[in-house]
Amino acid sequence: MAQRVGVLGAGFTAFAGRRDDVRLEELIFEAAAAALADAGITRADIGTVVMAGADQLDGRSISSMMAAGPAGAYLKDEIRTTSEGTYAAILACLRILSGEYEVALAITWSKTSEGPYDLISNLSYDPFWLRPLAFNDIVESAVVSSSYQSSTTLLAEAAPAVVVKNRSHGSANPRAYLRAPVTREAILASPYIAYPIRKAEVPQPCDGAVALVLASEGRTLEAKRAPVWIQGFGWGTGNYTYGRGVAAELPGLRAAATKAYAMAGVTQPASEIDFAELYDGTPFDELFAYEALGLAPQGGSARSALQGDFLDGGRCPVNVSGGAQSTNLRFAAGMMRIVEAYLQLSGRAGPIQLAAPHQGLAQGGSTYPAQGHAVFVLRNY
Amino acid sequence: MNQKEQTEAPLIHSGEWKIHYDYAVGETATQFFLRLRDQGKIAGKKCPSCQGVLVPPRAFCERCFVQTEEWVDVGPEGTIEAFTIVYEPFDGLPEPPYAVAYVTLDGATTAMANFVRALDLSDPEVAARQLAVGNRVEAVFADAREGAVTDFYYRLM
Repeated sequence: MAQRVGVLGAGFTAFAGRRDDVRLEELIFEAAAAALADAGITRADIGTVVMAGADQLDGRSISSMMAAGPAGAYLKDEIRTTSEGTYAAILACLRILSGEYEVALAITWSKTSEGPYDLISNLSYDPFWLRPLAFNDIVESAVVSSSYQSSTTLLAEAAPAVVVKNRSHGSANPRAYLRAPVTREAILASPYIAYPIRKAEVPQPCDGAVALVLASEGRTLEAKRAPVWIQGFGWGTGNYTYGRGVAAELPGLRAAATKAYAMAGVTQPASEIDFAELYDGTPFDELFAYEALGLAPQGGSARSALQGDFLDGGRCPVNVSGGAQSTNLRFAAGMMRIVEAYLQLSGRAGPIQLAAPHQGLAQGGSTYPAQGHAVFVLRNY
Repeated sequence: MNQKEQTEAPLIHSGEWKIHYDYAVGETATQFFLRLRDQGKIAGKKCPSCQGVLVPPRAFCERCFVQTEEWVDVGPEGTIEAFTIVYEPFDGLPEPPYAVAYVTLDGATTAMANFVRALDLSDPEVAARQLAVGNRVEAVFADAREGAVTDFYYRLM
């Protein structure tokens, strides 16, 4: 590839179950200003602002009207996608690679404490076939999980292990919202919310906003900090309808990974990816992603998880940040995965810093209906 | 005013969206719902290219990207592809517990979701075993039907 996109900096807000101290515009400003400060630039340096937000979650229609200003876009080029948060980074990368822009600010937010999330999630389904059946993102995740066709006994054993792992990782991460570890016993004692997902496997959500400053290769090399590159990225959309392939195989994620790996020149992800930050709104999301991303052999996700491959110190640490299990930013959870991967490769992950990682993967995905996924391969050489 | 003078919690202003929509069902789903309502039958549309029978019916096959034409009756028996049982209440959604399953009805290529009823859900593990992927169910039609997906449900065979 002739050109690649660099990461100049990252910013995020304080996370809380309810950020009643700020209105949505102020939350967005908090993350955008933090990202500019981290990158060591000012608003004047930004060429384009790319936002990802969802009106139904924000409780405002065409929410970019009020979000553009606090995101730094006054009298600048700006665009918004309503796909999951990481699509702001996808679109920002594309705009930089177009050659039109040197510096982009990509930002997304999630302040779902203000509305009835479960009901809003139900409204995402079509009004004829699925909405009347009370579907929402948790129900969908549960349904997808039931379709897994390998070693379901091991899968049931591995799911709480993923939660224990991520919450344990998160307990050491000063950026995480939930810092208390959980035990396998506590998870198994919690009731099913939607079989096979237990209540303790769906983390308490938090409000927050997350931003990245991205730049062209030339502009990145001018920065003082050692560069971190988005070496490859891809996105893919799977089925809305069932019954033509197994939902738990996450065809949308496989398509996204294929593109990202091809762009980054990754041919053996299991050995070439040093660590990964994956979407883990439920432990099943993370388990199915291992296989879809080639980090575990087909049918081998549960076994790999149970033998500790993805622990901090394991073969390929996954979510050393604690993941969404520790910081459930819902719509913005994927973007925080990119930020955590960036901080690792930048050597600035603090107490959870891995020893000299060179190549990491970050993934975001829309929970319902496990349809859209984005994959980023980041590298610091 | 500086921040220290603020003694009360920040204010919350409430708002609601009460927006009514009249969704066009379209000719394809209309035919499906009328056949369901009037004859108690479930039908799919066949893709002329891949020969897949799409249930629920779609006016087009998104893979082959052609319009579908021929109607094919499917079911009423079928095979479970995926399921869940909801045990916790969600805002604005039905009182738990309830079960839903995706079922490939006999003769169909895609699976169709609906509630599974007439099943004891009190023990999750027992109920989940009964709803295991690959198990057989049949569609049961309501006596009073209104032309909606809830005109039928699945029952274990």
